[in-house]
Amino acid sequence: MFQVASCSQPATCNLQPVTFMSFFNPLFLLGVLAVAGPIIVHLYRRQEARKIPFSSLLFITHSPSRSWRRLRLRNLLLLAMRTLAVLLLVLAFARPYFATHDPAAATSARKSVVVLLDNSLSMRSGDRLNRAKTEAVNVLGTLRDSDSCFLVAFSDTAAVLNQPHTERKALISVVQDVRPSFRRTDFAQALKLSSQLLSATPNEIQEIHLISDFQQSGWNQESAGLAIPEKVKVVPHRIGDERAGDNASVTRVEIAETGERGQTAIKVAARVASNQKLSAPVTLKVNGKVIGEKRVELEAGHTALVEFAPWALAAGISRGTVTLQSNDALPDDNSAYFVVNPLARQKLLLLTEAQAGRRSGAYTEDLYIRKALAPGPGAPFDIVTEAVETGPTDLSPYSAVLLNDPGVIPARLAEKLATFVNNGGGLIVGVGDRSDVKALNEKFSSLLPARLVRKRQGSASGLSLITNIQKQHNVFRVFQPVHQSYFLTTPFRTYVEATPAPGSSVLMELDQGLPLLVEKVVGKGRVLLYTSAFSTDWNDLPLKSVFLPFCHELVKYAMRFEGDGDSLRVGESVPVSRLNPNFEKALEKASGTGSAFRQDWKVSSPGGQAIALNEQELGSSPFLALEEPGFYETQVWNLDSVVAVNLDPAESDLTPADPQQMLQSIERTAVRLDTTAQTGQVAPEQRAARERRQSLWWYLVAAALGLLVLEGKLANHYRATE
Amino acid sequence: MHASVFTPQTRSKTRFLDPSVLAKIRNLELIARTVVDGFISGLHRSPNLGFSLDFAEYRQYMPGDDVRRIDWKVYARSDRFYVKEYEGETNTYVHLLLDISGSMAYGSRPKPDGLTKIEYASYVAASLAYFAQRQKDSVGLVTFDNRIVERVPPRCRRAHMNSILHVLDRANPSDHSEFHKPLEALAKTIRRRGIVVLISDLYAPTEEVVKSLSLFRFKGNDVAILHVLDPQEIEFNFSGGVRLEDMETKREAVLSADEARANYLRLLKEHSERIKKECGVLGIDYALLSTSRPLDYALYSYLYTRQKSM
Repeated sequence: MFQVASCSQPATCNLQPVTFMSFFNPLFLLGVLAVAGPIIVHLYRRQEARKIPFSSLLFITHSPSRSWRRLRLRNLLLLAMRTLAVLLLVLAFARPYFATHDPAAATSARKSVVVLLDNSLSMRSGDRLNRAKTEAVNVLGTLRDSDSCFLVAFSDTAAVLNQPHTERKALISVVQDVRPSFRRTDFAQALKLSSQLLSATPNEIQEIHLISDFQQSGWNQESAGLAIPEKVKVVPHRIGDERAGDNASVTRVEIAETGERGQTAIKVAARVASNQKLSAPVTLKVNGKVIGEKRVELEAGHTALVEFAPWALAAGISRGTVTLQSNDALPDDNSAYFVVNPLARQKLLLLTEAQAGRRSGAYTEDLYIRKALAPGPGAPFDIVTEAVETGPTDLSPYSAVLLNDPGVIPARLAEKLATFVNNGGGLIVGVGDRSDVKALNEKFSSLLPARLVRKRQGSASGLSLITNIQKQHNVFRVFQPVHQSYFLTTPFRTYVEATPAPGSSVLMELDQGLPLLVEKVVGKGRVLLYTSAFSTDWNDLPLKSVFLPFCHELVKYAMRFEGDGDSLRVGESVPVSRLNPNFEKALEKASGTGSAFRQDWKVSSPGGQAIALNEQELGSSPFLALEEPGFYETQVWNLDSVVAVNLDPAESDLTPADPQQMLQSIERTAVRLDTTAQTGQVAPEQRAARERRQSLWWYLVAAALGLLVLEGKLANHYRATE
Repeated sequence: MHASVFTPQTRSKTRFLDPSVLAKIRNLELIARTVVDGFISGLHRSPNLGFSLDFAEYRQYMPGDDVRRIDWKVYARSDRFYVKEYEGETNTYVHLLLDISGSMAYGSRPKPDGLTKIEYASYVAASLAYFAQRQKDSVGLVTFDNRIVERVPPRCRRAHMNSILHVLDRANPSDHSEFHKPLEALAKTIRRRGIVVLISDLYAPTEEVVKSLSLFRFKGNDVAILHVLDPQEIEFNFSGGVRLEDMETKREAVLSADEARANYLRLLKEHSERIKKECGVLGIDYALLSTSRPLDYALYSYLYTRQKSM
């Protein structure tokens, strides 16, 4: 079993790999002493041939030598068979297995390796993914049998594809099975997972092999804050060129309703970006029919808005696609999808005072909020303004109500709003000069997320500033750090002091910790309380550019805004109710009736695959991951619904980063070495897996049993013939 | 004394004469007395002995006589003690020839139950000597192997028995056997006819044995051969591979006992039957004695021969 290599260079003579037998239970080898048993029996029986004094050999003639030799041979044969059977059983109990010993590697400790294989959208460019797979296979080829290896396919998520001690052949097969995704890149997630996997392994040498095109956009703020133990070696394997491939993409579709002469028309504008000079046609298809074509001319690194002529909105759901006819490195991002559903648009009810404010003319206290929420092209929702005093009789058409600085509040309005919120509606309450703190507390005691105390002027200096914002909250996610500074530098002259109610969340704070924006979940809905005014009477926020998006985000959050036609991105996990409103109602009914109600619903993916959803799965996790760009279609209780899903535009930027610079920005932390890894012993589970693969013991037991049966038959035969 | 059909089998078996029992009695004289007295009393008890001792005459009781031989009717009539004398109680010379060659030391059964051939032969010789003396015969003993080792001339004195027993006690089988030389030498010294009883395992060529005994026969002696063998020699019950060592020559033979048995038994049978036949031609009595058989069989053989001499 040992390969003895002849070698001209003594230095390397001992470095040839050898195959040898090792044992899982070496202590059982002591059982070889049992071989003495048959030998002792043999020798004991041989005592019959001891010297026996006999009176005379006068009548003794010698046995023919041939028969005596035959007799001796018979005994020796039986002895050999019994001894061999015992040896085979001893070996079987010792659980042998074959291992290959690489002397060169034996001098070094065993490795734990994570191979990160980028299968994000950008890897669809050309043959990047195939080259990445080849590189992964090359990395696998450098590993020894004793090394452990994790294969991780990553995009904006990371998935471990194998068990740590999978055979190399199987690993290569797993690599070949990796398919490209449509998701964006997030190196941080992958590297974090890798670090966690390696921290659980005992081996001293730990490596991460990052195989990617190292797209700059995949390295974000979270990546920059990543920390990996310093003993972990990160080896970048760049796939692709150092310069960005030529790529153009449709990054966004904007839809606006226009109404002329009583007929609703849809105007579509598509934003096109390219990192190279571009001149290409852009087509607009609606329901499979080309209804518009424009030509776009772009300089390198620029974007352009391509506007199509309005088209008459037909009844029912319209599926639209804007496609850039460009032969570039990544054709998948040349299309953007949108859906126009006349029935799906959400509405906001703005309740404000019917009377004019303290200044006549154009100015009213609700001027800025009206302007900010005014309907127009690109408005995400419809807005209806009504007087607080009268108010609507029916709030069901609305998704949210903004109660702006109410004075006198009709009693029935409070009841309606309470019912509205409990049934899932959203309520935004803004205060101002007209607001009666006491009345608000009384009327909306069960709704307000904070108890209003009293109106206050600013701090000692007369002004208060925002000191804390919940940046991760949905309301503020759209704001970049520079935008947040606008909030933080906005003076507030007047506000209402409030005490947050139990279960509420403070989203913005003024100095001294006073709540400015407070949220509370009530029933199925939510209530947001803004303790200052949506006007310049109390603060200067309406004068800031962030005011409009702030109001929009506030309203969208309150109404649980379901987005524009193209607001869903690949990689998002959306609640199924987002796919079809009837899902939620159906699930409610199913939970109410118990298990008697069971129905499988299907979601058709853009690729044509039917994704089955059942009541049990939805009851535990009513989310669906969006993996492909295009249209996801569902039908629940005869209600058809279609949503459009688009690619993350950031992934279209194929600008590569310098891997070394990128990796150098990773914080390296000192980790105490695991001393057990220094013993150089093969992990028990690795040996066990190897031994299970070979199962030599079974063959040894079978051979021993066969030998014992043969020996018994032979011994009986000899006895009968004697 | 008539010796009709000599059928020792008609006599019921008695444990009294069982060799294994006798083996526990270390005193040779006692053994001899036990064997002979038991034999004789058995003769007296058995109605169909096929063999009898006819009353010849009375003689006056002398100290040392067996009190069972006192005729109490005569005592009642005469107030004197008289013992019966039987026919056959005539003075004859009995020569006991005991082979003490090395092969006579063999015994297959372990002590204390087993007897070696020399022990058994000694019991036989002692018993015969005692029996002969009781019958007022002169008995002598010669021990030999390839030469005469010891010789006790025939005498009929009571104390002569001690000399015979003493020689028997000293008998130590060691050397190899050779019949012709010692027996030829012995034959030359015998002047009066008598009975010659050879007690041996007869491990010698048949011709040599017969030729040696014919010397005695030609001088008019009645000759009897008591062929003493161990049961293992008679049956050869070894099995498997064995390595046998000749007790006289120290020669070894490694063999498969199972394969050699048939041949051995055939040769042994041929040997004993040939001796018997040759002896029969010469008028020499032959009896095969196994050391596991009761000693009275030996006495029967002797008595049969004794009868013929009368």
